[in-house]
Amino acid sequence: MIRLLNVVVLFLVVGLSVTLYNLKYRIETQKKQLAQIEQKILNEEDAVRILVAEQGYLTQPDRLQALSERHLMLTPMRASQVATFDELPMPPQDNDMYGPQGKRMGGYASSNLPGSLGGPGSSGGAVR
Amino acid sequence: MAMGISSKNHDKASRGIPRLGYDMVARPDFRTEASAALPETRTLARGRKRIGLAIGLFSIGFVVIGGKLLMLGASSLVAPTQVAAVAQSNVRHGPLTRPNVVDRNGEVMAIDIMTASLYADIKDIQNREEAIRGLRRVLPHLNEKTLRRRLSKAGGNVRLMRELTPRQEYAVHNLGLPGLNFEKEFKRVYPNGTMAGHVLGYVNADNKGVAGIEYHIDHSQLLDQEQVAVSVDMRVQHVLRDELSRAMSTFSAKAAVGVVMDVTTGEVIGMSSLPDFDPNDPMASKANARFSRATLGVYEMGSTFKTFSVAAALDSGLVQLGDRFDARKPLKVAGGFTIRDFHAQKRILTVSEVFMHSSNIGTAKMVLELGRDKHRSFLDSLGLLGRSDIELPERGTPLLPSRWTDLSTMTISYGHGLSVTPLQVVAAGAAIVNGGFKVSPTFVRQDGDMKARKRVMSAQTSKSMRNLMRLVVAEGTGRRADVVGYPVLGKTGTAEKAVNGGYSRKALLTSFLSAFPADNPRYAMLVMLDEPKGTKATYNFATAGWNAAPLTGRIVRRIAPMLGLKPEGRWQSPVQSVSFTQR
Repeated sequence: MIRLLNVVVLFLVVGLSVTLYNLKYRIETQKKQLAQIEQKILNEEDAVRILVAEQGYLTQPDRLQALSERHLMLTPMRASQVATFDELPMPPQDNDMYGPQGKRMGGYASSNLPGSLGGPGSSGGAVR
Repeated sequence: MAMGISSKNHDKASRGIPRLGYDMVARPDFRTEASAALPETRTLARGRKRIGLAIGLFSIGFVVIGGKLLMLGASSLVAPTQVAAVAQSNVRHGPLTRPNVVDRNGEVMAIDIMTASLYADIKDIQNREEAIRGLRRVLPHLNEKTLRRRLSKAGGNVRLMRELTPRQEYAVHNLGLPGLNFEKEFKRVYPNGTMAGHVLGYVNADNKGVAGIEYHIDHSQLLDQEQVAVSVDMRVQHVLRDELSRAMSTFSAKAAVGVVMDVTTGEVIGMSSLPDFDPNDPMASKANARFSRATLGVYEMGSTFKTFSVAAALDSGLVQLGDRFDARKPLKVAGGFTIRDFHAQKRILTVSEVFMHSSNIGTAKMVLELGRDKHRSFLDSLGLLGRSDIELPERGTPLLPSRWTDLSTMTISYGHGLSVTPLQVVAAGAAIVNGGFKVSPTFVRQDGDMKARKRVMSAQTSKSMRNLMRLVVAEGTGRRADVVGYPVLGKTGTAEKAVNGGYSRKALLTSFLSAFPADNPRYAMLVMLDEPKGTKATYNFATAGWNAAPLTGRIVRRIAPMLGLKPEGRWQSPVQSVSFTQR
């Protein structure tokens, strides 16, 4: 009985030691991985900060205005260009408004109100 | 467990059961005649008890030691990483990182980024010439001589360059030269450069805020915040600065100031003071440029002040809108002082006309009727006589006359003899047009509920003042400020600057206090030009109506759509005919 006990305890000791040893090294590896991942996260955070700063730099209004003045033919919006949907005239009743066979653009562009863009062709020149 | 079993055996033995298991202490010799209660057997039983006790004690001891070993093993896993974590958190979240500053829409205005400084560990440098060649290739601006001198030292760690960009760092790293190391540190960057320098302020070499909002962050326990939102709208700020700098160069002005404020919350939507500086490198600019004229500078504002004087007179009830004041000849005051009108009408004027034509004589007579104390306490209630309570450390203290006499009252009524900051003027103007509630300017975005507002004048007075200010723009001195679709309220001010104890006719300080949209003002604005000169386009006039007023109009035209204001009276003419002809 006692001998059996001793043998059991011996195996238990060996088994537990091996398990503990294993566990310890597995944990250590994972800790290392965790630290690496944390370091990576910090690096990414730093990179994000730099990118945010760069984005801020690239989208600063001063720069955008200069680029817009150089490459686009846009001017500041005027009060007269602001409208709500209620203020727009109703589009003419035209079933193939979005269809390929339609000859007119439909909507406001082809409505016959005074001051509208009129027919095709005049819209291009009106920008500037 | 071992203890439990052995004590069980021991119990059996004492009860005289002949068979015993293998036991290190139980010898077969002692097993015979065990049933009799012999003295030897009793001794034997006692001995076994003792042995059992010993086994028990030892077992406890081993369990304790084993447990302790387990704990030690486990803690040795945790301890070093914990130390590392603490060290890391010091780097990241300690005093080294500052919260980002964002504008009211969340656009980044200031952010900390990691920069690298390049160091050379001399004893690890194997080939000096190769190192110099390599470094010069990727960092061409480094001086070869300086580089050679630094690398020729006997030993130690030498700093070669500060604040490398990530790209430069990468390039140096790719050289693969031994002995070159990087040291990382946080640096505050302001991606928008000069745009909002006077609002943001700047930090010193230790990343401590020393001016502007940066100072506020350090001194209001905001350092541990993720971000701080200022009240400024970057788009408005840009337009304001853009137009101010254009006007400054057009009129060859020495300086220009502009402030846009929300009239209900007191939030400063845009503030620019030119010349200004780049907070990324504040010391590269002169002290003159770092001086915040909008919040720290105090000026005699001139006729803009008539807004407050007329409001005081109307609110007291002693003066009615229809009352008339004789402005036919200059007003002679005791002490040989004479008050003249710039836009002299030489006739009897109603209150509206006094305001519209900006009559000094009329205003002076009006406040005399009101009385010195009432005028003074009204100005005080608008916050014009004390230092304003704003977040920025740059707070100007108004310059009051040493003795507030009747003459002071008269000159102050049209804006001479009392110097205040432009920000105070906007705040006071906002109170005039917002229905009569006091406005405390702030540079931090106000979220949540509105604070209880203090009434400083009746709603009726505010309404009358709005009408008067609209009159100035519609028919008076401020006509050039008006914008199609966004009617503007305003009052011009042309002050002569005090030079050598007198006032100079040549050196002017022109300003325009405005609010828009006219029917229910949401924003108040002040623009100010320091010593503008007349141009051909202005027929050599340098008064506010010719420079500050049109400048206001240009700014309103650009920012009103950004601020989400709906234009008025748009369908009077069709859309395209206006937008395509007014180029």
